[in-house]
Amino acid sequence: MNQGPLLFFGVLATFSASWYGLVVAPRLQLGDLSPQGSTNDIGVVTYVPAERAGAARQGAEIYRAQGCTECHTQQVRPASEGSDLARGWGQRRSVARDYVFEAPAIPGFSRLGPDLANYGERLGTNAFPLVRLYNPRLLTNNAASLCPGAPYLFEVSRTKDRGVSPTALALSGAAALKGGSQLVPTLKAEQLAAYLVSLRQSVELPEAALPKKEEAP
Amino acid sequence: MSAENSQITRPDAVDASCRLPVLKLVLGGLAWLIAGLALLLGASLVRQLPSLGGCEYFGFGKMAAAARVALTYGFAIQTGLGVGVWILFRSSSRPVPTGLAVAAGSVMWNIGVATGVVGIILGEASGIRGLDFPAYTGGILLAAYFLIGLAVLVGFGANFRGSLKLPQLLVLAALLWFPWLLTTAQVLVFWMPVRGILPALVSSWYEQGLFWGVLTPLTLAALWHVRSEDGSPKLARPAFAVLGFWGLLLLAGWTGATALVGGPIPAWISSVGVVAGVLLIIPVVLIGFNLFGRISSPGGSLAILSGLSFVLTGTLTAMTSLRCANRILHFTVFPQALSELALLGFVGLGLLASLYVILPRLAGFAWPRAELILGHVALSGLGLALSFLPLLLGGWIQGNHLNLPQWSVNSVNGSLLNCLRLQGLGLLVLLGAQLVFLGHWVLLCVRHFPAVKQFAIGLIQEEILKTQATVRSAK
Ligand code: HEC
Repeated sequence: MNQGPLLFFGVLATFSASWYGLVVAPRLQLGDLSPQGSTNDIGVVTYVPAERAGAARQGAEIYRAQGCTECHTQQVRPASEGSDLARGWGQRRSVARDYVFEAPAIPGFSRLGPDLANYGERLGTNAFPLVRLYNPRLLTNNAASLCPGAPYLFEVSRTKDRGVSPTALALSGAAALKGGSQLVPTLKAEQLAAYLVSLRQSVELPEAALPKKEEAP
Repeated sequence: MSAENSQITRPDAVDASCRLPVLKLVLGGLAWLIAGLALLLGASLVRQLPSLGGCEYFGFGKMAAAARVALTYGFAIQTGLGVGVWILFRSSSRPVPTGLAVAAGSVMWNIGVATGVVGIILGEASGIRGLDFPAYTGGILLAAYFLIGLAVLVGFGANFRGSLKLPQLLVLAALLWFPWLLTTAQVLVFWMPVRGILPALVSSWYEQGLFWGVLTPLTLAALWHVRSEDGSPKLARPAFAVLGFWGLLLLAGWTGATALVGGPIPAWISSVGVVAGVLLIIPVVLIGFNLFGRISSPGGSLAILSGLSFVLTGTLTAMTSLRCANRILHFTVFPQALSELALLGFVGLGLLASLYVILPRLAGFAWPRAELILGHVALSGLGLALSFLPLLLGGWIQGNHLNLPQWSVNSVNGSLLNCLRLQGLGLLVLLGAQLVFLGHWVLLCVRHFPAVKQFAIGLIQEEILKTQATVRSAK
């Protein structure tokens, strides 16, 4: 029996089937997704989701490089699949269009930490607590946190040499540095923070509507 | 298995021709197995003691990704290829004509893996699971594989007569699947990157395809080779084995969609993932009929452990594809535990089982100490159980607690901490087990040092002569 060709074509066929189904077909369906445009009352067109600005885009690379994705997802599942919405991790489920500008998206696979798809939204008007990146266990009621943070993105400098930095972290208690020293976030820390703040998906899309706001009576 | 009877079947021309390529691939793989386990252990340690994880280079995220690359590419694929080369040529008693090219490919492959692991540690990870390494690593790996794969296929095709035996069929299928898979994934992730959510889909398709379509056939070939005489495996239900094999290939890539169930992808993809995941139980059972029963080789119990891991991996993959289980276990530590069971339990122990047969055959000497074999098997089994079972339980606890919004993430993790600790202990035992194995191999070499030295010198001379002969005959 001549098994060579049979094997070759069998392998080719089984491989191509799943390749077509899970790579080509989704690409045809999603490949040319674009942001959703809408025109407001005075004729200005805006698009959602918006593309990230420079610093936040750099921050995404740091997030990727430091392996934050090993513990954090960035995808909100519908209520039928888990408690994502009940936990306030988003107002609606995530859909493919939310990620059109991501190069590439990092939806994640593990939730040792909270989902971050809408982290910026959760911060609200609060500034990003940079101390979270230095040591998450210094935040209130967070001593048990497993989040490693990224202390290597901060520099200790002496106020005598560099002058008092306006961005230096205010540390108190056991974490406080010796007098005359300060802890200054590096550019990378600022970029990572800008990225985290930029994480938000609460925009109205045709395929994923936001829950209706309570109408005032 | 005894120390007195240290001279076993004398190596013939086939064994001699396999030495360089097979040893190169297998020993390179073992080194990565140990490095990968050490990284995994380090990752598990800094995860539990996050204040240790403050180091830029050895944080949890980086070490976990680096361990995946070391274990998948450095160990599993490379050792699998080594065992595959042995099976292809040994089963049809033909010498390898292209050993030097295979060995050269293996050197390049190791360079590739090293750039990947170091690249991730230095902060150049791609963030895409399965292809975690930087883009340049991908290029090196692909080139190295083409060298190895072509050398093996050309060398095999040149001398092959007769009909293929089942283990050979499996190895050839894996050798053909892999380049397509790797090339497609790399093109879409690195070279002509697609934006948005698609790379995540490509990556899970790739990961599952790699496991079910490449590593599984290679490992099954190894397991069946261990129970074969003259290259033909003695199986309980050979027809089931063949059917199961094609079933696996058919479903391999499709199961990739399970990783994104409920995620930001079109609903039909989730459904396909569920269906493929559940159907997987059929080939797994068909193959399972042929994995157990008495084996009389020294690594026999490892083969049984590996078979058990295979059936468990398949069954749990199928079960967790179901919505009701997925709703709890998705995003917990359980999927990680399952992929460790698959990679270290099934693939790892399966390949090691075959090495108990292959390595002495290549050297011409039997394993010197039966108690070290026993130690390796016992520690491997214990380590595997300790690193898997706590995470199975932990994943269940974590998932159920995550589904209750009143549980804060910190308290969910608190309920999981002891399971994570036990897993760390399991990894430590598993690492110890492999060190025993390596020590045993070194002992074998030291015992027979003069012979080994002769053999190493002979090996190189032989290859040079053979290459010269090939070149001459080509002229
Ligand atoms: C070992 C797993 C792990 C890794 C790796 C990890 N985190 Fe975390 N992260 C957690 C856990 C657990 C929490 C919840 C406790 C807390 O708030 O600190 C968390 C919380 C957070 C939060 C707050 C989320 C919220 O909803 O308040 C942010 C922001 C964050 N992490 C950012 C990062 C960044 C940036 C990185 C990469 C440098 C990272 N994490 C790496 C586990 C991890």
